Amino acid sequence: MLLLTPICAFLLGRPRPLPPADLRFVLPFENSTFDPAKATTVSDGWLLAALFEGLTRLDPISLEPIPGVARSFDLSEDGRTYSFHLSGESRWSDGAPVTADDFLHAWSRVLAPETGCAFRNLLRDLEPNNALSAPDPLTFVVRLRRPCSYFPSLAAHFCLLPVRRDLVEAHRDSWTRPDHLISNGPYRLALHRIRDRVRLVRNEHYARADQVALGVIDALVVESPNTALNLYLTGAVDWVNGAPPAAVPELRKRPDVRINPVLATNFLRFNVTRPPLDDARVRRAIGLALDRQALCEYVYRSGEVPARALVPPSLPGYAGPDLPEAGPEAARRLLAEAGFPGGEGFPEMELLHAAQDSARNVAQAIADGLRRRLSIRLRPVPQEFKVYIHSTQNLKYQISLGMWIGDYLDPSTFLDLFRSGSGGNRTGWSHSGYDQLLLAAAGSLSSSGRMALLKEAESLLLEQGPIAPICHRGQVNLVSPRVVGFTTNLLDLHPLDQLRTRP
Amino acid sequence: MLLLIAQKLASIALLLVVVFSASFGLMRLAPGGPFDSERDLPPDIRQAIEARFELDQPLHRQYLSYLADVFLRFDLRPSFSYRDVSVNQIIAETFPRSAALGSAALLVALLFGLPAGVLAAARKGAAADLLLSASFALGLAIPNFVLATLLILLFCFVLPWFPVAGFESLRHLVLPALALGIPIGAGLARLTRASVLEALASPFVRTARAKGLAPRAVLTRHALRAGLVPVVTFLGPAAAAVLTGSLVIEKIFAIPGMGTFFVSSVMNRDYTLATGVLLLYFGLVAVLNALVDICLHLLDPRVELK
Repeated sequence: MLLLTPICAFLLGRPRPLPPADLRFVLPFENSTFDPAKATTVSDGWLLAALFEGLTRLDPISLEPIPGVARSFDLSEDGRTYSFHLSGESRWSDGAPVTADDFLHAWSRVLAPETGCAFRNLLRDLEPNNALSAPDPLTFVVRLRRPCSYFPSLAAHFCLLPVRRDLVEAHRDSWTRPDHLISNGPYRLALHRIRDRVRLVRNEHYARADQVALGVIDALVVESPNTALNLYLTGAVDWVNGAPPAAVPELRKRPDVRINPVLATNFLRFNVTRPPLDDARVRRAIGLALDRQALCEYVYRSGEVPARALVPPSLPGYAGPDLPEAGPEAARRLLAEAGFPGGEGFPEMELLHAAQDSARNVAQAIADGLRRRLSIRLRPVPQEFKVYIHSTQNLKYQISLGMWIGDYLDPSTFLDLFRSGSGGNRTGWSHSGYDQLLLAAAGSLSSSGRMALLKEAESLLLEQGPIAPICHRGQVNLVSPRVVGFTTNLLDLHPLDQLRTRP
Repeated sequence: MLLLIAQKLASIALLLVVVFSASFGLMRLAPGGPFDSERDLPPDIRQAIEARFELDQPLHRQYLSYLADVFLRFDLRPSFSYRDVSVNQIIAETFPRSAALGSAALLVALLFGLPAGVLAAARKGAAADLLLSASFALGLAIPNFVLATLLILLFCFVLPWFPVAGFESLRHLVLPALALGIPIGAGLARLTRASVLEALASPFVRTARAKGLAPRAVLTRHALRAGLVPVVTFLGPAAAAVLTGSLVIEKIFAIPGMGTFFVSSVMNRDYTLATGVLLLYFGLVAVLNALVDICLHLLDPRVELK
């Protein structure tokens, strides 16, 4: 009788094979949602970009905005009103045409607090009232408070993808189930097995369906990077984003392994309300004493490059502050100036980090390096991720490891973090001069003028040093030689409709 | 018997209410919430989301409303981290897969462990016994994830016989079932050997021998029944643990089961999912223990049904 339970369980839960897919790739986590307004991770974004198409798309190589559902747009004289003209050929997977109301509905949802969109700040430049309108089914009008030269790029973000009003009204929160979801992108959702896979099938109603090469794509949920690597090496999957850091030095010798810079920076955060961290010289000294090259080469090991600024230099169109070369000697002098010659009298401080192996190693290495170069003692303190977030939000730390991934191709995505009172600040640092520079940049009509103001703001930020940049991130992609058309870019976007396979 | 079953069901229900309450209290005590992340949420959004999930209500009201949903309507509510699905759905889809893996592992454990343990007891002191006992110790000592890695190395890379991960066919289940089942089988074997030996030394077996019964008959007809009692007791909780998914094995072999949620739901402060998996686990343990009690009574009438 006891045997009966397991046998029944086995029959109920046994694997059910599926017909093979044309392409298989790995999702590092189970996707959180197919609702564009509620999604948060980059991999959620890949699936959404396959299912839906927005007003604009980003070219996967240059990251310039190219037409999506909107084939063109007009910009008013004052640069504040965008009129997007929708191509009449775009259709949903049930045959219905894509209309301006679909965008009006989607963007209104993003703005509504109840939806809980984590990227609502992308629309912060919208007029406070009546910003969005759909005067006719093929025209979508957006009114901004001030000009925003990168707005067409913003419009390509996954949170701004269109959503059918009637779907949400009929099904509420379950409109994203495979049997309800209707999409307007190159693929539709065929199957979603929780924690197992998402199966995408070519959407025959898509305007450019004849250019979509792959008919069936499987996104497999594999949480362990080691297992993902195993699957790639045995040919069971065709593309893996990321690799275990310990394996990267070996892997990078292979031609099918691509490493490229991405728009993300790791940095140290200083709680400027805790002495002696309230002294900018102390903060800068610690920043100068970091051995970034060694950290990138021996600890991070995934294509990171040393960073002396917050905004990655790979960001096109922006020339960051010119930073003087400086090293441990300058660091020691600064520390002495601040009243701690040779590290004497400097209290032992805690270096907070999330309890993951990678962060642990980095914290240890940093603590070690600072002990050798500045003779100050840092104690790594691991905290479980949510507790670590809670601590940084509430300034319950001294120094912590932090990072930021840019959402769009403009320096403001990084610099806005450290405005006074910004939720992403988490250092207690506040500087009216910095705030004013950012405000002036936001209102600036000239593109070059704006970049100059942002550069000045970043210089100020680095000089004051509430953060010490460590490195700019790299991204590893393992791509099978049978895949053609795979491109790498700063935002790690990989449109699935651009991929083909060799027989 | 029916009265007994009713009593058991009532005590299981009580257990689940206690588990529910404890997990509710403990989870709310932990700092950090489901919506905390590197990306900050503006206050109005945070308020709106919390209202949606009832997190802005006073604790006792949240508790009672959630209690009613779970125990009166069997609704475990939506998950906090997987926004499109309810906890009922998540468990309904992932638990059977963990159970399938667990069953396969149990089968491995029983097929290897039971006969090996009985054989070792029957040949006590001989070379066979020494060899077998050593292998039991080895099987128990090696952690299942080390075994998993060795199996992958050997049977996926050196000899490309099996797929390295996934849950697509029965072949995909072989290595994970071995990795999960062999250590359990080793424990089972040792336990079986010890208890069969004890049964072989008991008075009623001596009587059977004295009556002239052949050794094999003594073994199968008398000693085994008594000897299997501790084994059945062991199987109850072992089955529950294995059916709900070994977290590590599922991660290594990318098995889309429930195991990972035990840790990840707590780490993500996904209150509803965490409560759901805990209730399932404790419920399963309780039910299997009840089944074990009944089995034991049938096996060995000396055991009283409580």
